[in-house]
Amino acid sequence: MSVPTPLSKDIVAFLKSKGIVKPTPIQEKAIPFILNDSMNSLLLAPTGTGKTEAAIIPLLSKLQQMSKRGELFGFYIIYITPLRALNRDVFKRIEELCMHLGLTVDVRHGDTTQYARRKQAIKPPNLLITTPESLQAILPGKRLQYHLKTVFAVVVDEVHDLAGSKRGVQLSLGLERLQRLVSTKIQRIGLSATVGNPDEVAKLLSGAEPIKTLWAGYDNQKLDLKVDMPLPTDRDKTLGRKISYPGPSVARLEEIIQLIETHNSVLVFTNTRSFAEVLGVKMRALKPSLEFDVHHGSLSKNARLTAEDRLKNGSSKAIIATSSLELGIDIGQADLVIQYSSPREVSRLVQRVGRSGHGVGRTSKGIVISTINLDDIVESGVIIRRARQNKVEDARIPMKAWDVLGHQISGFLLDVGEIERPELQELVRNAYPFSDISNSEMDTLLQFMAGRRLLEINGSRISKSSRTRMFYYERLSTIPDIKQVNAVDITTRTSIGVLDEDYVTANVEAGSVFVIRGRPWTVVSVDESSGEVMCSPVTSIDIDAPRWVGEMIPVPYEVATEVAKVWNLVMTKEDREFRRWLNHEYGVSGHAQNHIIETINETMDVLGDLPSADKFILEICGTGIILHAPLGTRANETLGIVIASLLTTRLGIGVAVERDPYRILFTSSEEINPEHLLDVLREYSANQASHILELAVKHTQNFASRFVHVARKMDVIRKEAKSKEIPVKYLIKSFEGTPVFDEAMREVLEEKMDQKRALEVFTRFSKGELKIHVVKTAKPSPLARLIIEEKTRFEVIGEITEENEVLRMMEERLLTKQFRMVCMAQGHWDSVRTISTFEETVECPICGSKMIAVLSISEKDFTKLIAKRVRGESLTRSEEKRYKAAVLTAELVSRYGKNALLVLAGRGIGATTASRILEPGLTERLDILRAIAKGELQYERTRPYW
Amino acid sequence: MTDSILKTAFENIATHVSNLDSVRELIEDLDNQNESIDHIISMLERRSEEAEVTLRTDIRILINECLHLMRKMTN
Repeated sequence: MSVPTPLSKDIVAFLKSKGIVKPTPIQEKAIPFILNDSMNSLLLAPTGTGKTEAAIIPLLSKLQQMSKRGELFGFYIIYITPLRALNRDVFKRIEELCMHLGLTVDVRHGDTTQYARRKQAIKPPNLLITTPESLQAILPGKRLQYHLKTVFAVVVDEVHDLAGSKRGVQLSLGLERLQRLVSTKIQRIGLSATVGNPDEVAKLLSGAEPIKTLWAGYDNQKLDLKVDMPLPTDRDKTLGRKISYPGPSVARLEEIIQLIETHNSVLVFTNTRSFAEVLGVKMRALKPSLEFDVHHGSLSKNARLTAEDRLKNGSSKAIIATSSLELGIDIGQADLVIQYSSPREVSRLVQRVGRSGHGVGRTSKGIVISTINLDDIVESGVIIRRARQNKVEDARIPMKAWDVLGHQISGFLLDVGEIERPELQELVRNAYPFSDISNSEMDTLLQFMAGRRLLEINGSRISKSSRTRMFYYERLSTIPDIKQVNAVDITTRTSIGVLDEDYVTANVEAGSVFVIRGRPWTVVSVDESSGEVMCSPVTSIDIDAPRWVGEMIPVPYEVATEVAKVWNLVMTKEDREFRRWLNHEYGVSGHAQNHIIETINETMDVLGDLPSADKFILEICGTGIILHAPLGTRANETLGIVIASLLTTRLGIGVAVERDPYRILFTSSEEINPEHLLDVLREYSANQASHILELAVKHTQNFASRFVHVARKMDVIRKEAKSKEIPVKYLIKSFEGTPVFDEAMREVLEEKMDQKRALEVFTRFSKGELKIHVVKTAKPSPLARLIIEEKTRFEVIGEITEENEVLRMMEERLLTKQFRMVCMAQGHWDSVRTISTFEETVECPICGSKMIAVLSISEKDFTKLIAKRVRGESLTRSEEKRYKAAVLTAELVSRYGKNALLVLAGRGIGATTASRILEPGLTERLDILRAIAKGELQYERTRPYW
Repeated sequence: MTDSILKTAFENIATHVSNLDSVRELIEDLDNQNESIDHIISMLERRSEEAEVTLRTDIRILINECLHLMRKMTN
């Protein structure tokens, strides 16, 4: 038996001088293991328990021993993190120890200066901290490649974060390339706090080599989690009117402010960047003296660093953040984490709450502030329960991502110049995501690449071509290219953040107002050439928050089915027992409990049953059908698409589909017979449904946008080509059956859908294992309202009980809209007026005519057009068009009076849409407002295709 | 022996150096002196001190490779 190697005396002395005498549980396990073995390992331990040190200390000890045997020259340890900000933090944590041991350490990522890069090429640091993308950049580098030959260990921090995306796939192949370059074994060590499928993640890290997983510290983890659902008081409602925000939202905001004031340092997490901005601006309006910042990935680096530093040094008390602060960035000691609305995934809650009470033995404290919404409350409770049990979701490793493999093959060729086909295949197969790649799959990809002159094939020899280098270096990142433009504060000329190009094109022009960094800004101009948006601060509070792409987090199957179990328990458990159990198991108490019980009882009254994973309910209400199926976002997305396509094909009518994690809504211009839907489920096999899914997906916007993204990555579309200029439909058709098409399809099916679970529904229903209870309702059941009315909410999830309040807020907005009003009879009345100043009937104050055109304020010369027409002169085509549109608005005003103005004030509602909305029977104010909300929503949904 | 270590080291590193001609000249020069590899390494170290910065790294790479080959042979 060999004698275990101890840590070097220097290291022990250094740790003692810092007061560190007792290792944390993960350090106790990992340090001796790494010191005495070169086997790969995956270290799993809660956030803040010293995983970095557990991996780095034994490696530095080994390195120090090596330095005693001879001078060190080259990179020896590579430390990879997913974020540049994490690179910086890790550097700070280990710099002193490295200096103490006479070892060098440096950081290299996208922001590293050319000077620093040159210095690293001349004098390589012994330990290099970098990102996966920067590793890709240095692998084929002439000088750096030599320095990499001395690497003996690679540490991958937050490995779960990389594993669930193509970044992880790229890294797995990158590690194989590094291994080939070094030619001696590299010890790979992965670090993670939250991962549901450690075995698979371990394989991703280790490839074909064996790996040991070390767990520690989960037993000592203390979590204090609960759901809170504030109810609005009269004061909240009054305040809400002042700051244009619904009363319930004000109540939540007040609770958040109060929590911030009674704690030292608070992190408030939201699920979307745009909502972080809205929350920021409303909080500032409600409590201007409160020091806090907004932090998300679209803000400039400078803004994010300032926010982190301000919280760390106590200048601010809180940060409102998105996932940008989830990973281990050092923001000091937060004593509370607030999650606004359900976190939707267990891993997200665990990561976020782990940011408070950082350290062994401390308690992480988190509160989910829920909206007054059944789904939101129960989902939050279920996620809390699963977080306590550490039941986090699996990282979904993308298997056989052809764009990544194409890029990495070009990397292999840059590393070695040329390679024999079998050797290349073996290298690729060593990486877990490609472990079962077939010869024909490999051939198809190689032929595709050769066809685009990205490589050359001569018999069995594959070699680089003149385009390989450019192709490789232009596509180092697998993160989707969402083109972004800079927003610049015109007064200080500093960047305040970045906006999506799509958002700018659709919404931003001089004079528009939007929120970023929790403050409203008005657009002064948009620079034509650079695309920069020049802004200045404003004080208005009625504003738009920029929308960012890809924001909605899917709710997993496991969470959705447990939510349905909780609903069902309302009916089976005795009331007191149920309440005690809700509180104890799910952290749900008080008003939130009442809301659950009341809503479920009401639902039972209407539906006579409750849905579960084995029993769906088909609710027929008007021309809509709601399939209550608590299977999670992905499965319902899949099931919805398949059923809607089959119904459309069978019935010959267009069937639209909406879904949430618990139900699917089918709507059509004609009534859908529920029997048809049941027939579809009964008659089609899972295989047929799978085929139909692929056919249907091919025609979705989602597939088109994924296709464009993959096509850019695979050299089919130029990187700089603007979205509007791409003939997407033509390209999709032309590239069907190629790796580009297959990869786009794989992305959509694997990332957005859950084929397996959705298609099981067909099999289970045919076999009688799944029951479907059909109910006809006069008005939507409380559960159905959650999907029907959620779409018109201002927030991600809102309150149904407060629908009137939400619509009233919308009415207030519409009433403040200004129009230019012109009398069509004579053109003698031309006035800019606010809608609120009109009576119910609108008429010309001069001649009493009701034919009043409703125009944009900028149409100053419209009276000239009327005069021209009155004179009998012919109008140009564009003048004729303007005139006709004006006549249509005037007809609406003469018929519907002020209501016509309200409808025309809706965002994106023109005269034609308004004429569709304004039916003669529509007289109730709330009905009109509902119709406007629907029209606005329609506009929002279709805007990208205009 | 010395000759083969120096030559093999040069062949191994040739694709990674920036000043290929200068390094080649240096090797030819040292090769003619028929010295032991240890002596050659100390001469290389002296030369590296006077060299401009990129050539200095090339020489360091060469020294490193020689040491690596020597270690490999003794193991």
